[in-house]
Amino acid sequence: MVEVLRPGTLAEALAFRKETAALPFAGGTDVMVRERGYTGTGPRIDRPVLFLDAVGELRSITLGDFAAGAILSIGAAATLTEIVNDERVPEPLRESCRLIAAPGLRNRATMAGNICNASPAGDSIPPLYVLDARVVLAREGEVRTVPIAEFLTGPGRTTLRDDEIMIAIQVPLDGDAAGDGAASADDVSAGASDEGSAAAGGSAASNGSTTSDGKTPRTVRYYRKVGTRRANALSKLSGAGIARIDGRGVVTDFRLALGAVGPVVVRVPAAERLVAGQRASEIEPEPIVAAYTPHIRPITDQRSTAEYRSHVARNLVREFISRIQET
Amino acid sequence: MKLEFTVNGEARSIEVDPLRRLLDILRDDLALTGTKEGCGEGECGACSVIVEGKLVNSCLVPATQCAGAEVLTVDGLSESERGEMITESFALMHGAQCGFCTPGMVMAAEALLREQNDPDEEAVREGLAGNICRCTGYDMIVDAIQDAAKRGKGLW
Ligand SMILES: Cc1cc2nc3c(=O)[nH]c(=O)nc-3n(C[C@H](O)[C@H](O)[C@H](O)COP(=O)(O)OP(=O)(O)OC[C@H]3O[C@@H](n4cnc5c(N)ncnc54)[C@H](O)[C@@H]3O)c2cc1C
Ligand code: FES
Ligand code: FES
Repeated sequence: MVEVLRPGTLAEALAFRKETAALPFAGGTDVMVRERGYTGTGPRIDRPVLFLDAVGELRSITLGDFAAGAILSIGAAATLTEIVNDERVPEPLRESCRLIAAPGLRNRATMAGNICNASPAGDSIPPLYVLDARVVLAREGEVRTVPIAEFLTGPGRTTLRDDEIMIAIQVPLDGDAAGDGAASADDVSAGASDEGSAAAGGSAASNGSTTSDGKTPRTVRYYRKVGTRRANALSKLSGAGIARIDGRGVVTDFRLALGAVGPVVVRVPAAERLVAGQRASEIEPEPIVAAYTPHIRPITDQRSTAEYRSHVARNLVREFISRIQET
Repeated sequence: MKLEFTVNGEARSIEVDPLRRLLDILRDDLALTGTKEGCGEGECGACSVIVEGKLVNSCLVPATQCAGAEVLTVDGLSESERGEMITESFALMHGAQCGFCTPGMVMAAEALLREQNDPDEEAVREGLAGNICRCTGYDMIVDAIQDAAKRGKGLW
């Protein structure tokens, strides 16, 4: 029988993790499937297990003001249901969580588990890339904060140390990103698509407030999950984007992340810089698509083929640009 | 481990492996066989139960996480007024054919109606998103749940 601990405090959790290098267990929706035993038996886990769901310090979602701006801190044991129900969680992150699995799964699964599982198809990850999120990792006596892109190094691979656990995810709510997560929830509701319609339909939301000279700066938020069916289907690929357009119609910030088209999420700073500074209405999509193309290097697996993923990934770039031009 | 928890309103105390699935505890240790196993990996919803007021897949929940918890299964629910209302509506609207998915559907319906007592079709479909039915094509299940909401007005 394996040794298990389900502590109520972080201190106990960190001590046990250090002493035993136990397997962290949050919602268990990846662990229970990965370690599945024969029908009628429990999972086959041959190392100690550290349950995180009862650790009080890890359960909350809190807003903090730092020198760099407001940051939403999502506790590692907060469930996806709690995250989806929290209007402070910015888009397109909230929408991506709403489209993960189904209600019963979301009642247990966590965002930290989605990240630490490090699947190229982890749906919360592309939005975390475009929001420049950081993860907070703790071990006894030390806490470090790491950008999401430095934490994830390949399929199933992270820079988590044997004595560490993830305690929170920090999401910057910079500038107009702060308040409009709540308002845009409805506007991004078309974010899930079946495989046939990735080029149709929309999933963009825009928000803005009128400035003194009467022009309206706006933010376009984009999320698209491409899977076989609407619920309980892992993504074939996905895309998340944020663009800011100023009062003169010029794109001041363009960020796009593509999931499941390579070993880690793809963000291409050079392509993003190509768009920034252009007038939204004048963007030529094809040179931008071309800038992404060499970075789109998917594999064929049981969910989809490399050809399909490459084709649709380029369509996601086009779709995001068209959303920017639409509004 | 010694697992102490409440199942269908009854305090229980049993000796189990800490990683034993709640599904196996219910079916094999407590002989509550209303809860079904379909896939065993979170995909089908046949094993749905309500733990601490929330819908969960009991095939993914190990014993350790059930300590002190309150668990409601279809066996308990079907003896309540709400459970009777839902099962009656499944019969009236032909929401069950082979019946294998039905216990999970009934639990998902209960969880949904607790949150929204008059759900529209889209909300019902979203509430059932984690439950697979091989027989009905779902329309009759959606009808059944809306019928329960209508006839059972005031129960939720
Ligand atoms: C039917 C089904 C449908 C699914 N659909 C989707 C989907 O649509 N999109 C999607 O992205 N995923 C999906 N998943 C995968 C899974 O549900 C998610 O990845 C979920 O977010 C995992 O969270 P969890 O808390 O259950 O993780 P767990 O299973 O508890 O843990 C996952 C991994 O992360 C580690 N870990 C967890 N928490 C921590 C921590 N705090 N510190 C360090 N390590 C930690 C664990 O050791 C483990 O390796 C699905 C799974 C199933 C079974
Ligand atoms: S048996 Fe649990 S979801 Fe299928
Ligand atoms: S009635 Fe047969 S699976 Fe639903």
